[in-house]
Amino acid sequence: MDIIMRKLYLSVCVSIMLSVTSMQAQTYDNLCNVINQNDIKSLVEYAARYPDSEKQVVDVLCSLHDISELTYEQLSELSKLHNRDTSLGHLLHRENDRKELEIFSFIEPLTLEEINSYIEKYPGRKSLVQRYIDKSIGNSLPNLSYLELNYVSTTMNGYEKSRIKAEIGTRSAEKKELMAQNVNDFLVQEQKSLPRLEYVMEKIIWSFFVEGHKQLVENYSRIPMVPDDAYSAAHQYQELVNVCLSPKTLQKMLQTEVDNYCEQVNKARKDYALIAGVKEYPKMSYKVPLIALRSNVDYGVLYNIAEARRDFVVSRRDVSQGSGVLGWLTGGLWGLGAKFLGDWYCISDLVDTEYNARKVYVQDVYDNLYASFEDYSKKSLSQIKTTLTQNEKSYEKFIKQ
Amino acid sequence: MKNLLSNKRCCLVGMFLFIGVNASYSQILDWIGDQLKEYVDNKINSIAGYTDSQLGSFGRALWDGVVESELQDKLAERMQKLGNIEVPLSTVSSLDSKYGLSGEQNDFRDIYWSQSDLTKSFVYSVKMKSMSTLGNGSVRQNGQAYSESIRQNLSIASLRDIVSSEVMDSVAVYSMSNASIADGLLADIKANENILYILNNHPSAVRIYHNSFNIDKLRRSPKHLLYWSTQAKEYCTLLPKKKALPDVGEIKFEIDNGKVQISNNGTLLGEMSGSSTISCSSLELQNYRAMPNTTYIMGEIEWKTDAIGRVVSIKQVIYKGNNVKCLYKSKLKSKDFASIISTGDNMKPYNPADKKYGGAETLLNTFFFESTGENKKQLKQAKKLEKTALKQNGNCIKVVSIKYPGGSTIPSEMNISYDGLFGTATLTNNI
Repeated sequence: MDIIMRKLYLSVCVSIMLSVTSMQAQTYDNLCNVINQNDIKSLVEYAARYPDSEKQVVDVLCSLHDISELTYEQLSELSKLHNRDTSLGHLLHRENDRKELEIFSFIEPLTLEEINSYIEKYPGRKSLVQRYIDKSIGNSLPNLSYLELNYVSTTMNGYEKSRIKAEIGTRSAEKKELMAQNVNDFLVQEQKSLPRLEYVMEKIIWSFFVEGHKQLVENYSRIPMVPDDAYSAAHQYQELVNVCLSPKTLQKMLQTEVDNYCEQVNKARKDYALIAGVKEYPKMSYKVPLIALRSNVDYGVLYNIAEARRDFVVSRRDVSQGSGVLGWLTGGLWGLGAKFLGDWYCISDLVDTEYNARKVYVQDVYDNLYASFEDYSKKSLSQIKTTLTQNEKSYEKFIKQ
Repeated sequence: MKNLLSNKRCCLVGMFLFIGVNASYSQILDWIGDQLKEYVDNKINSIAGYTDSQLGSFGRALWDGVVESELQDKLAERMQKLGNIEVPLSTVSSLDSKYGLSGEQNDFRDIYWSQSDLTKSFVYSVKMKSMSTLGNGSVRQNGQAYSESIRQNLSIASLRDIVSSEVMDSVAVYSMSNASIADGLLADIKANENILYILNNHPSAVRIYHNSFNIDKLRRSPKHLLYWSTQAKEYCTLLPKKKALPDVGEIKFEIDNGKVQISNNGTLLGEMSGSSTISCSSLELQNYRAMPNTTYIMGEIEWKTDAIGRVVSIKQVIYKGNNVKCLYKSKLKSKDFASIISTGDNMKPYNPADKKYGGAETLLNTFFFESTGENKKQLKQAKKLEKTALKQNGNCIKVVSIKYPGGSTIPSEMNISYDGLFGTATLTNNI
């Protein structure tokens, strides 16, 4: 029985050994297969799956491959599969460290813009680059100038936002000096924006005149008969002028644009002053004056209208008598015909006279209005320019104080 | 005279008469005149009002109405022309050229934006600046300090810190014969750390390092150290003890005329050119396990190995009627390799580099194939092809390619052809 048991035990042991040998042979074959693929990644992954094969894998990697040819991303990924305390892990991690040093040397002389492009090109290196920036820039923040801090904060999007902001907060003297240095350029550009306002103002003034006058003469042309009295007739036109070319309306229109302009100028000045640490500063403003319309011209020509109307009555009477004689002499319809024609002629004569008188008057008023608008335009533009220039000088003083 | 006087009298009388008569007559005439005038006036008035009387009061009123209406119409019509007195549009349009602007310009927000941009340009004026120049160079200093800390971790100060004690012991032993071994090894490891891993994995490689010490390229080659310390002798224990190969630890590597000579106890075994070509000067080198990714040359025979040291192709130049026996002799025969590269009794050895033309029964040139009818037929076919090729071309190149399943050392297929013409004979193993 003992012998049988021993034989049985031996046969079991042999079969186990055979099976283990067979499994080992199988594993070795698989390893050879992987080696033959000439692929470092497969080898490292194989070693991660079968830790017993790590020694052979290290042999193969060291003798047949050059792992320094792997990219940082590949090495970084493969390093994660093995701890640094194993020989394969040690090999991979050290090479990974060397790659990191290569990358650090490469990015050190780059500009931050180039570093951004680099990260964009190699997204897998973002955290590595970030780490280097932490160690280099992050530890140097107090040594960076205000402008350099701004450069870092704008270029390295979101990097150490609060720390940089806090550091910038301590640079008030630097900021003030910088803004004082540049305020002249700032105001020169502001001055260059004035023609925009001038253009808008002049356009409003002249468009207002064009439209207003058009409305004026249209309204006036719709009055068939003006009063007989020249003064009343002139007064009637003056009232129309005041309605159609209302100085207050024009002033309001201009003031709106001037206020809008000043609002934008002051808004920009506020931002500028804020950086310079100046809380109180002169603001640009301008009160648009009322236009002085010169429409009270000599209305002597309107007397012609009253005279013409009187002539019209006389002429009609004469026509009536003349046509009566003609009718008595001819004893027929000739007289009637002459009366009709005569009256018709009188109407035409009166209309011509009235029209000509009113036209001359309107034209005289127009000439004076034109001159008023011309003067007004020149005067207000000149005033606003002077105001802006003086105001800018004050602003400059505040910033430089 | 009397006539004259009477005439005068007559004239005076006549004059007085005339005056007297005339005075009363003028009153009459005035009256008559007035009457006449009144008559004429009445007549004239009646004549002048002839037309009006023709029209009658109704007609006159009607006509006056027509005249009044016509007057109003004509005035209204003519006064329309007053509307033509316009301010020239050029007063507005000329502003565009005056200011060099056009269209709506009253949205002044862009003035703020452009002023803001200018402000930003002052505040953010630093652009495209090298990171290393920031902070007056402090960024570079900190960055370099960080890099230096990593570099320090990578640096190797002494052998003892990095190699195993076993390796250290071997180094101590070989330092006795060559004092510069330790320093040389440290320098070589610094130059190529792969050596470190080979040494730690295989301390016997220290001996190979020592044996190759005079050849910089070899002693710094991990492939060389690994192969001669481990791989080369891998099958040695499987060979008959009586036919044992020289101990690889005894093999020396020396340089002569630019070629690396491989020798054992003063006997030249072969030469290495480059890092992957071995010219055999004996059969020993063919009986160690083949070096991976290497070309072995003997006479006009060439073997190429793959990454795990398996022969994957053989080329042999064959000259018609010129049988050349191998110059070198070996105690080992093909059957001695059965335990290494055969799977059973039914397998027969085959030497692709034909012994008739300089081939030998070496491990490099021996392959076991199943002794099947088909393989026998294919061997006959190969001989036929050889004959045909020699007959037609006088001499030819025998080309053998070998395939293996996965990582196995037993081939699954061997294709034999001559000059790439005349067809192919194929031996197979069903494994």
